[in-house]
Amino acid sequence: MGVDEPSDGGTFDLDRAHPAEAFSTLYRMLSRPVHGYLQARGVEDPEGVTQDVFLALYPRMATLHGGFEGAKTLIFPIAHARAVDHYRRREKVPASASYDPEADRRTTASAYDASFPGDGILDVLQALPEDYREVLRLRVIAGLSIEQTASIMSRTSGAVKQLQRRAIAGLKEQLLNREQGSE
Amino acid sequence: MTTTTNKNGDQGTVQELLPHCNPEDQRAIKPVLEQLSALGTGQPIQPSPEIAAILAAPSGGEQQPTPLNGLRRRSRRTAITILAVTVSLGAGSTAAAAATDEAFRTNLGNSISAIISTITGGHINPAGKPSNGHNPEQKPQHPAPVPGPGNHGDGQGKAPAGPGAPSEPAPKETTAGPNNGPATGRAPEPKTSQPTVPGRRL
Repeated sequence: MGVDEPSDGGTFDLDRAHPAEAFSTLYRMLSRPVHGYLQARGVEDPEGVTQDVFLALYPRMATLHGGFEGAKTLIFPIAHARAVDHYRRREKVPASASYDPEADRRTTASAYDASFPGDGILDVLQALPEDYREVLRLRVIAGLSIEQTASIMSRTSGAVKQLQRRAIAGLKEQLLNREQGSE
Repeated sequence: MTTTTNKNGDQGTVQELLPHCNPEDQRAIKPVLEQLSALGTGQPIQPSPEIAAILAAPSGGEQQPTPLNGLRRRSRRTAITILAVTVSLGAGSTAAAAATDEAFRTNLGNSISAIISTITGGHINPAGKPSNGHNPEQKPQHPAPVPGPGNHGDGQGKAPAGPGAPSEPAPKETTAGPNNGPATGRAPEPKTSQPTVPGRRL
């Protein structure tokens, strides 16, 4: 562990690199997965929270070890905590929904129907229990291993495997329900 | 350990999850998992100014960002606000008391006058009257220059001292008396704080 394969195809040793340089590499490689994870969690401003996650990571770069996998183990718990903070704040403040007139393609449908079409992957995910959603977000979007996911979710690896199987089954059930509903 | 990144859409994870399904389900589930995986792929997020500053100097010794700076600023601002509100409330209650209580105003005026008198050396007293029977106007601020025998004044009556006290300091000079010089033959003006002998310093 320690030698990783960055997106440009070369090799890069995060543990030996200068912290700022390692940070730059991690931002390039992981900002989008962090953003996707936060987006799938329904955070209202995933880009802003992604920046916050990396700003929280930067002071810890000197203590980073374990290469790319170690960095992921460090970053995604921060993202997880920020998402939890987001929902705690939202319990106190009414949720806001953005509306972009340029993106409004409706002709006769309501603005709500046009803004929230209701057939995206996030809506399918939203229909699952929270544990299932979290295991799919961490495993599929963030690309974490079983062990890393277990660490973040404070569960055993066996429990995560079990959750994963049930999440896939729940996903399949949701797809069947939608197919039946559309017929 | 060499790992693949999300550049390839975490196909590894998707392939890892699919064996849990039968082949028929795999065909239905795979596109959904790939859509989900696609949320974590693409170009890096546009960096904020703070992130951009770090990225711009990848190997420099730039000062580390401190996300708590904002919190410290907020705390300092809160403390200043609390202090300002406290001072305002104190001033307001003092003004209210002064507006309603005549004795308070009198006492406050006396106190302020006493303080000013202490600072200015007794030139002002609360009632505007001479204190202790001593007229401060008669006490010059500076010892007046007294022309001595070799001292050549301008000859305009500025040498008040009588012949008996050529080198006495000024306090005696303002006392009207027969020894006063010709220019000081009149009574001292009550409202002036200048020495009665404004002799030019030589």
